[in-house]
Amino acid sequence: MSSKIKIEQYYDWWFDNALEFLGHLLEEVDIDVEWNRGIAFDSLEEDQIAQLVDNIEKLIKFKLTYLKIKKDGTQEKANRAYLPTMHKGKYVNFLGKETKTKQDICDYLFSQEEKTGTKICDICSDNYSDDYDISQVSQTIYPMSIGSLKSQCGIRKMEPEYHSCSKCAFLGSIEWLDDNPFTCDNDNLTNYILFPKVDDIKELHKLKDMIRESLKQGRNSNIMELFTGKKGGVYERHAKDEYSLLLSLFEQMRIFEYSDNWACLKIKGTGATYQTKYSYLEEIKIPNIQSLEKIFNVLQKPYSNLIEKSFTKSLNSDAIDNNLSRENKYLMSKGIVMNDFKTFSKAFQIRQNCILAGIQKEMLYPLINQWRCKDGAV
Amino acid sequence: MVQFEQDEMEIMRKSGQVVGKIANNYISDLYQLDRIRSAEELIKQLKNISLRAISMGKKSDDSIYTEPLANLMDLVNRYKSNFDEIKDIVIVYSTFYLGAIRYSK
Repeated sequence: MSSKIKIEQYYDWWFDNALEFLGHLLEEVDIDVEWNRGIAFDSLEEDQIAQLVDNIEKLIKFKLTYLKIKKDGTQEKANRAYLPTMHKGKYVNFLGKETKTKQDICDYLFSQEEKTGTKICDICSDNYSDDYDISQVSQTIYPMSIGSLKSQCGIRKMEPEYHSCSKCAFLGSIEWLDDNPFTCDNDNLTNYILFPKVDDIKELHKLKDMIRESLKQGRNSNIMELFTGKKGGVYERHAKDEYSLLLSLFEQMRIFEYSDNWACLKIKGTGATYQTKYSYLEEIKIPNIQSLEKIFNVLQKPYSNLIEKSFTKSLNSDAIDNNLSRENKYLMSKGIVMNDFKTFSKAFQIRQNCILAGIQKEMLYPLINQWRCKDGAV
Repeated sequence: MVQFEQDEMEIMRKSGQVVGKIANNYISDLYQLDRIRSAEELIKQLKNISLRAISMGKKSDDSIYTEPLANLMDLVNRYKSNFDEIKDIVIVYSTFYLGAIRYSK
């Protein structure tokens, strides 16, 4: 009986999520996956590899593009902005390979064949040979990696380029197709993607399977509400920052007990070319998940019914200030998630002669009482 | 983070209502309240707002009830080291009431 293929856990937010996603993709093609400090599965048959690659290619079309409706009403497929998955209009690394090459790479990765080579992977330290030309580490493989422009990589004599084995390149590339909550704020050209940080991959898989069930795929977010406008058009209403996104996610799914630790990847883009400018990572460690859960028990939908409905108006001209509205929503969401009343109250400060409005008494009173009162009584 | 009693929360809410009402005419009072850096400054500003409330009551038919502000000063004395938290809660309520006065139809 042949032994199983085992891929060890990386204990890294990006690659652990990618490994979980691979396990999910394998389960989709009816392969039994064992979840224990990594994933283990039997080697794949040819038809299973073909099916896996087919699924990945479908996901590339589905996840990295969206249906754009032009002003004249016509529709066209557009690429999701600012992601580092493309260069000069073409997908890079594993994502950009031909179907046959993709199948060859999967065939090589998911076979019992001994992986040998003279080079050492900078990510997992395994030996490898670069047979498929996917070894150069770019932001496609690991979004926190440095760019390939030597002049922009700090000390010029340092080695600015990293190289990885086919396994790491494959995992890093397919993670862009994963079902992680994301939102894109077009006004400040930033994509926010949330990754649950759970050490036990079995638990991570359980949590992400729950998230997968309730995600929708929209242009700017996959956690959103659809509403019909005055003229009959259907519009998306979605969060514009990472804390609001997290609150929206909790509104849709009460998953408090699963993870209080999240990684938020922010990808800043450029307006003209929709290319990635830079990306950075922020950890969101919820300090008091019980308090947050109690707030949700009292208010049910603190984001949709309180924060989302707020706006900031000028005291002089009554005009709505969109920048301050967005900033205040961010402050309120951050305050609630991080159990920081000081941050929450900053949204209520009168700044630039503008005042927060649109807050409902029926939502604000219970919130403050639950948050700041001993009994939490309303 | 201090957890307050129900009646203390009520004092802060009612004080916010008074401050919001005054800020509708004298917005600088709310700005000043936001800028305070000590419990003493907070009490001093609350006294100023109380005086303003009395003078506003005299000018118009609509009198402003200042008892919540007196109770709030007691509360600040009780929680001197946490005056900042009281200020934050009062600011939230004040701005909310000001917004309600300005934009409710």
